[in-house]
Amino acid sequence: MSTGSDKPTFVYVIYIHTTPQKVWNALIDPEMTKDYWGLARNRSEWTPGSSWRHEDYEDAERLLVAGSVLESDPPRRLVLSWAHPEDLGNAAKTSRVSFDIEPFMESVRLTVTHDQLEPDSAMARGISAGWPAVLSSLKTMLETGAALPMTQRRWGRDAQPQGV
Amino acid sequence: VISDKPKFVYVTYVAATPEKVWQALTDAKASARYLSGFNVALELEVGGASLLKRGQQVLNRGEVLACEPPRLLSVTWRPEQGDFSDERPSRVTFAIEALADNHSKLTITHDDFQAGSKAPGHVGEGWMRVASSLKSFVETGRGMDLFKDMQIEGVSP
Repeated sequence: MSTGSDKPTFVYVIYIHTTPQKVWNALIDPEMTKDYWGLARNRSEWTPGSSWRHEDYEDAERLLVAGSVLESDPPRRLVLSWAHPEDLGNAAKTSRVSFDIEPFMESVRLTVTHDQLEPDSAMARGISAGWPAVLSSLKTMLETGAALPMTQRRWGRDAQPQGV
Repeated sequence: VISDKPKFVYVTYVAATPEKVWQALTDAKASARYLSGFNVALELEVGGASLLKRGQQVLNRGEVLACEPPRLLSVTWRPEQGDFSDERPSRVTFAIEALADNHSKLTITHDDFQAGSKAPGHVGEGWMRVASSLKSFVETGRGMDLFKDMQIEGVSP
């Protein structure tokens, strides 16, 4: 977590032995996100300007995070606005997540940049703990076929995955 | 107390026991399988040598500060060549926590840099590659080949 600017930025880089297309698919395929991203699904048309929802895999009414697709360049770059549902439209409480997917030495370099965060917020703390777990599990799933058990469980909105 | 001293911290979760992660971190032959040509050479006791080598060449020469298998390894960090070789040693700590399901949380912390050093902005890339490749190695038996473009000097992993 960098606090160099007024609004904190969290950056996480992970190298995955797979292809950019498989990383892209994993970000938007509910059958994959439910296993590496806390029993949740991501729902959108994935075109610039469309809305997106991060919701409970088994209960679509339970909306966890929402926003809009700011950039979509499959399989290279996806940029989303990111807010709790009750904060939609509140610029101060809306952050931004960029997924950059680059081929790198016969593998993939995935960079997740979560910026424009509200300083000292539950969101900032939550994502700082959450992204390492989610992205570690994504790597494990793409390389071994099975995600980490700790990310296959539902976890609290701002809480860390269980067992972390 | 909030400190503004530079610190690089990277967390990764591994589908392996702390013992397996420890072995990959500390065993010369195991490390060679995920550091593509580099390997560690460690004397696992406080005060022991902590070397990063390529063949017979020592690239980084440190000392063991703490050694508590399989939970904690802390070593000093001083490159033999390059931009940061004239600075006093910094410190790298590997903390391994046991989680449910026989999994582990590995936290790599690089801190205690010489005041004003530019090293903090350079070491992170290497550690992210080390962590990713180590994780692949312990989970799949196959490390990644991520170090071909790394320089021998200060920023080498």
